Amino acid sequence: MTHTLHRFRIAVKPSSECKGSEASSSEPAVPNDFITMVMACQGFNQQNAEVELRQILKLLEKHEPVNLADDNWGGIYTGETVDGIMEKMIDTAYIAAVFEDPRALVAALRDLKDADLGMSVVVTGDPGQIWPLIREAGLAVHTINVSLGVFGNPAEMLPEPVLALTTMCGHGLISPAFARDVARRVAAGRLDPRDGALELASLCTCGMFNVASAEKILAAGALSTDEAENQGGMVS
Amino acid sequence: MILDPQLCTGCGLCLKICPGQAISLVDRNSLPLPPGDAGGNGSDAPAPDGVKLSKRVALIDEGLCFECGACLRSAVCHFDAFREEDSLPWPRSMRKILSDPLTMFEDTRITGRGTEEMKTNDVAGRFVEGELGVAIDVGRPNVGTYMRDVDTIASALAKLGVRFAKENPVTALMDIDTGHLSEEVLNERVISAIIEFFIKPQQLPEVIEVLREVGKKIDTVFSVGVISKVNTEEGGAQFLQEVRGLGVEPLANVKTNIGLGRAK
Repeated sequence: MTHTLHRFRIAVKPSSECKGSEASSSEPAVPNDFITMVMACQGFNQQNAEVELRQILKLLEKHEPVNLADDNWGGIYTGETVDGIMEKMIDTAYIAAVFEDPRALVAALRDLKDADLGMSVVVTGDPGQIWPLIREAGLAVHTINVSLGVFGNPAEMLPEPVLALTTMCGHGLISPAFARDVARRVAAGRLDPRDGALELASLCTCGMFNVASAEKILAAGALSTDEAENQGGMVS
Repeated sequence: MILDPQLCTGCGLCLKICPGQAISLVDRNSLPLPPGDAGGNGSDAPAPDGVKLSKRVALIDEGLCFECGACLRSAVCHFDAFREEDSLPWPRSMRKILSDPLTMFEDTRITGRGTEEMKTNDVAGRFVEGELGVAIDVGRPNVGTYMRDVDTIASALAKLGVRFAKENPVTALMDIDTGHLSEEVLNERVISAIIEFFIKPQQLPEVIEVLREVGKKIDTVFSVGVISKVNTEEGGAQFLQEVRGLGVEPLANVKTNIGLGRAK
């Protein structure tokens, strides 16, 4: 699976409506977006791995991720509860926790290191941000997966502000039409940016959708431009 | 996916939810009657007692439907008009395997479209130094693909002598010597399908060249990921530099295995 790899991120102007916005700066910035995934390895440590994975889910929850899920069942914004995920968890569980706060990511990684439960952990994000944070947690880069971008028919490419919302669901379950619809309702003042982000997150079963980033993108009106409405992006 | 026209009120809310743009509103009188079931599920079916059927009704284009289940799970329909078939016949079931993330591919025991790839490389050692992994995610982002376009790309790559990854749903449908897929799946449409393979690092330039050329022959887009066991942050930075040297600007987004896994 490559569902956290091909995320498009855009810089947006901070909005006072969004929790966590830096009031001191009005310069556009790319919202923080750090995704951790934890799983067992088939044939090596998967048998009865639900025991360790349950501990890890609780450990990650403690650091208040902006989304949390088990890919097998869904997440906290698709109708599941942490207790429900714990109860259903099996050895093929694939835990996702999304962080906005870099301090929370470092603390969570430190806890994972200290717990030493032997499960594989992957962190996805801008390497300029996440690699120093991984180092700070006392961990090291082992193997990387790098996105070379999009190839193929350029006529099919969507505008980047739309992709910035839709690609946060790596399985492609958030349709561009729905992203635009939510953005229009927010721009018209008929929907709160936070509620718009939660509507979009409700379709992302793997729990990789960053509701904090989506709220900022919606609050900034990034999809309300002519470019976002009409023009496509570039292919490699 | 099945949409019961008797329950549909023609509100149209589901149209925007569908990732495949497979739902449209049509005149109820234009609905085809299912063979052998005239009046049972179609336009001139009697309405349930006390229900006045709307003039317009939503219709799923089966050719475009990914079988992803987003319409059903979204609960956008207040009248429960969507329901899934108990089981889909082959090869239509391929749509669900590759589009509905809550469906497990039995061969890999993984929900989703690919393999564990680099996520468990710290344990499995699937990717070693001196070799790269490549994943071509056909149909991503948000376009979808017919399997015939996957066939076009895979068969072009096979000519380079790449080694296709086992335990991948696309490889399972493939002649690994030619890269061609089983003909029966070519007209199936999915949200995305991942072609995974291994190459030597020196093959990466020709792989990129082939992908650029084959990209002109297909009706969709594809996202490309390259996996490398780099061991250190410096090794990672060097690999990113090497990729840039090939005339490709990587997205500022890297999946990083941090080496915490171990065998039991």
